[in-house]
Amino acid sequence: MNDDRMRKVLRDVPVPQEREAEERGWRVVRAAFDALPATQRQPGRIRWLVALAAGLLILAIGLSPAGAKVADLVGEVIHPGEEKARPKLTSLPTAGRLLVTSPQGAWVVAEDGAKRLLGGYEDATWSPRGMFVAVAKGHELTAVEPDGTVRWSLTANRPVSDPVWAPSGIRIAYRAGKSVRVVAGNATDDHLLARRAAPTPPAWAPDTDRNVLAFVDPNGRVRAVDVESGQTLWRSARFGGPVQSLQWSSTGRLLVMARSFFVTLDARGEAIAKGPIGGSVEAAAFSPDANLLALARRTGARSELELVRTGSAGSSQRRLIARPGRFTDIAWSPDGTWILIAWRDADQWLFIRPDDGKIIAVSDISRQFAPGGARAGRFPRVAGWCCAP
Amino acid sequence: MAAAVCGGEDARITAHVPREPSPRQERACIRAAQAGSEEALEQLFRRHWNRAHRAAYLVVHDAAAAEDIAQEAFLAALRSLHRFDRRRPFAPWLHRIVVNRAIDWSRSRSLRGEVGVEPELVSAAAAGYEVEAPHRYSDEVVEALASLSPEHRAVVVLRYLLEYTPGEIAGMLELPRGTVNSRLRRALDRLRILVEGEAR
Repeated sequence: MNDDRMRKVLRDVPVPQEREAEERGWRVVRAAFDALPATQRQPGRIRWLVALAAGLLILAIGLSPAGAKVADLVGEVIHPGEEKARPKLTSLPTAGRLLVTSPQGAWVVAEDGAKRLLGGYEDATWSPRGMFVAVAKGHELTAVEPDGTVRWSLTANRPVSDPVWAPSGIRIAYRAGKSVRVVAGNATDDHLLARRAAPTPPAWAPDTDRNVLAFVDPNGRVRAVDVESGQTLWRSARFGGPVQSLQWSSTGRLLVMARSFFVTLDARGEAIAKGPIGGSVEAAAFSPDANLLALARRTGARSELELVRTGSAGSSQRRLIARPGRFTDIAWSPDGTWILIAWRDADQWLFIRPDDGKIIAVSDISRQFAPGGARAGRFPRVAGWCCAP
Repeated sequence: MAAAVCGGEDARITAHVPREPSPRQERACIRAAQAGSEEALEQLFRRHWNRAHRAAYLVVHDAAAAEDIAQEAFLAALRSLHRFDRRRPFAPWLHRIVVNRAIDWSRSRSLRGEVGVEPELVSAAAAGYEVEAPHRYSDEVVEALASLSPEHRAVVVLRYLLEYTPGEIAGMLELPRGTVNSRLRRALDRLRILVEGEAR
């Protein structure tokens, strides 16, 4: 095989849905272009506008006591909506700390915006009261304090991923290759729970008096296991597609999310609600009181964040925002007053207060979690918003 | 109309058969896109999408991920377009983002224990496509390519699909040139063994 043959082969390999992918790609890029801040889309014109606005502002302030109103008006024209994004994350809107993973590793973000790199870890999860963080890298599972001090580390035979700390605080579940394992919070009693499981992160039930873990078995059914006895409590029916995520509400309901539909299971694994998403699911998270589900879904080139109120009288939906591009993560503040939505295609985080729709946007997120790097890294993932120290 | 935006009739491209623009036309296109022209942006996109998407696909071997990576790369490029230095060529800038993201994705996938490549990539015949003899050779090469590490796949793709020199590849992947050469040599040796060995 010579070089020319290699070139020809690589050029001719059929790429699935090549044309469709191109059209989808163009729709996303065009939508993002439309949503770019005017200062980025037409820098030349904007510089001229800014100069004009500044002149108007000075004139108005000089001539009239209503100068402040003119200043507001100019500001709104030039920087509408998320164009008012803060360039740096200087604080969180309410108490708590964020856990974030980026290509550089796992980070803890304090309420005052201070960021601490815990180390070059890939997956991370808070302990229930935020006293520790369980992190994974390669074949190692490690427990660290929020200042990065390593408490213990264990090595598995296979690559470790998706650690989750039980609400009781005494167990950590994690995936090692295709298996699901459980270890005590002090690194003892590490044992196999299931030899094979689907690549969906496991999820702990909210009980603190026992440790029940749900995971998806290789047949696509959800299994709930009492980790202490090893007993399978229930096994769900199969679903119409691969399960993407499992989320327990604090009242013991389990939300099973697939790409285009959801099913809610009760404490016995029986389906109590199900339905299509209307688009594809990007992320979902229950509010701390379990009354609201924040759901990010994508339809075409846009993503929407909806609040679904679930209760005995049925459910109701309210759209909070819709933007071009993708939302990748959702996290509720520990007090349930704010939602953080990670808007990958704008490289922004949006802090949204559901009560009144107030939005605080922070831009340039990738670069803030790639300090000293020559280029912005991959968009960081939000691993959790935990309690204040 | 779009053609005029980026410098005359020669710059026109069809949606799926991009024609190589001259550096001058490319600069004109970028300048127009920076000034807010959606037509110019579309031309840039159409010119560069196919190779970027194909490169991502050949590194990650997952159609959905390749589409995501190519989209992400264009969006990253779009976010930085206003400060892009027009004296520099656009393609290497974009390809650097694509290939590095594709390598990152492949590494994280292998870490998560997800295995396998897409059936349609490994064997078009097995996936039910009508396959003629020349295609089978292509399948074998691609199947062999899938058996390489993402880092080795990346240098093969950069060298033979995107036509960069080993020195340019070294710059894009932030590697010593010797490492690029040795990866390239090892990858080709392995491909030769896998493809020609099986053909015997």
